[in-house]
Amino acid sequence: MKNKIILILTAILAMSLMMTGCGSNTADSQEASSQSAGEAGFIFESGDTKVVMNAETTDILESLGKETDYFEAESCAFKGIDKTYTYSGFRLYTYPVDEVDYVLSVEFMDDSVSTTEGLSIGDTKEKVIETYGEDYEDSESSIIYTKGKSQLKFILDSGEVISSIEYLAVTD
Amino acid sequence: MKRKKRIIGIVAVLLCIASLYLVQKLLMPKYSADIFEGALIEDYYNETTEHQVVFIGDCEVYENFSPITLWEEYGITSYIRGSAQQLIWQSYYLMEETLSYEKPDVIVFNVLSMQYGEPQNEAYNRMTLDGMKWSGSKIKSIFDSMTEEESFVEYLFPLFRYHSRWSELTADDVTYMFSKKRMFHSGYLMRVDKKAAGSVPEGKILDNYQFDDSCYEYLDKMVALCEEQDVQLVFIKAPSLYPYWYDEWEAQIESYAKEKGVPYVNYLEEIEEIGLDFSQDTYDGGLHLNLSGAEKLTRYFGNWLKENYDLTDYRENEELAKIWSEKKDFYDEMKEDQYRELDEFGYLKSYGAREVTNED
Repeated sequence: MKNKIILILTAILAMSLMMTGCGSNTADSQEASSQSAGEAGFIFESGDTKVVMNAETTDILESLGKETDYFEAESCAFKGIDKTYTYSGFRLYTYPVDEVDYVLSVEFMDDSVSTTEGLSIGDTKEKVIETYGEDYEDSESSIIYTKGKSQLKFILDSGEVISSIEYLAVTD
Repeated sequence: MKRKKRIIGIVAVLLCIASLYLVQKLLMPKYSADIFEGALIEDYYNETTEHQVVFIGDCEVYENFSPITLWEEYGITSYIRGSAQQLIWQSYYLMEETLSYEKPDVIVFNVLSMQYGEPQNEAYNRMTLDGMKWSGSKIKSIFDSMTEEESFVEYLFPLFRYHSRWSELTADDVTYMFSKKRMFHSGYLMRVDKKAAGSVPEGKILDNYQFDDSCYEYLDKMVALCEEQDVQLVFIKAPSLYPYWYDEWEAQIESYAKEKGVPYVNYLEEIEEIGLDFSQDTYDGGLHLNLSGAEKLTRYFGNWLKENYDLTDYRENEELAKIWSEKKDFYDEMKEDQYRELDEFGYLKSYGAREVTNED
């Protein structure tokens, strides 16, 4: 009798411990998608600086030099700050993972900057397709190209003229 | 003999269930050391009386309004059923659930969440959903909220989701196994620190400013539910400088509110009248108000409530006065403690703030 009780209690304990044995991520962080400059993906270039989506920002920010404006927003509830750096002609947005900042996106502010392939705000939809091809997702007012862990998004005014260009990181 | 075996079997099963229940209670996050917002929803069930006004929504309600001020200045009882990045369908089901517990005179809904037409993030889902008591509303909210990676069984048995926390357990996990640390003031999360707003960037150009049809469906449901229950529904946009509130979004809400006959106030347009000073009244550069800002906004909003609704001033009601006096004592204690920490550490060390460095 005593042995049976011990057996039952051991089984309960074993079951409880089994439930705690598996490893899994907790519900409080997101993974950073790593992408080095050598991997496929859209890369924004500002002078000699290559801005790779999902890349750590330290070296990039150093290379870009002093920003003209800076804004930060702590995320609702979680530790971690989303940062916005404004430079001449574009803004760089970051996201944090485990207290390290990564490139989230680059948004063009005016036509003083262009993509690596030469597209700027004010160019036409036709030129976008000529340059980047037909393999895109589109809606009434945007065209999105995906390459590796990045996207290049063109927002079109009246469906014809680029009003916004943004490089975006595809995060996990 | 057979009977004895049956009894042993039943006892064994019950012990098994009890063990799993206790292990689950131990492993679930307590939100006692940081990310206190995770405990907001559950806190509601500690209330012992009904409320004249219930706020529902995201951090723009639970960080921007002080129910204690609403009581002190107007004798209006209120509660904030807020949670981090609360999505509109979650708001609807919380509204539905709240109305199964009480019938307030007014429900106030902050419209920022209209920008999200799809499930967003498991971590935020958990903070809204795990704290809800089991009900039809909770079940429906879970199914509408789950991202692709989530499953209902992990909400039904959170042990499946949180079993890996065994390596992160602290003394708090035992202390707060059955009740959470008291941190809120009728759903308000207090911050007394200050961080002035600098220049806030304008919003990005969007390819589509139209709110999702699903969001309008839930707005319709809210309107219908409040009409059915004879509760006054009010829409607001809190005076948070970020995330950016587009003119195109404002136009849609104004149009909808007018069509449905629901009062709507955008407090971003009344910052001067409220007396908000974003060099003093915010703790995070304009995203949320600090205590000073929340009290100013609440005073202003309370006046609007008084002018527009016939709400009783309950300050002479002995029973309510006693309850709210205790709430006020706790509010003052926390305020004092937060100012003490600011003096001692330069930041709110025990209240989820990050340490201020020379670079800030």
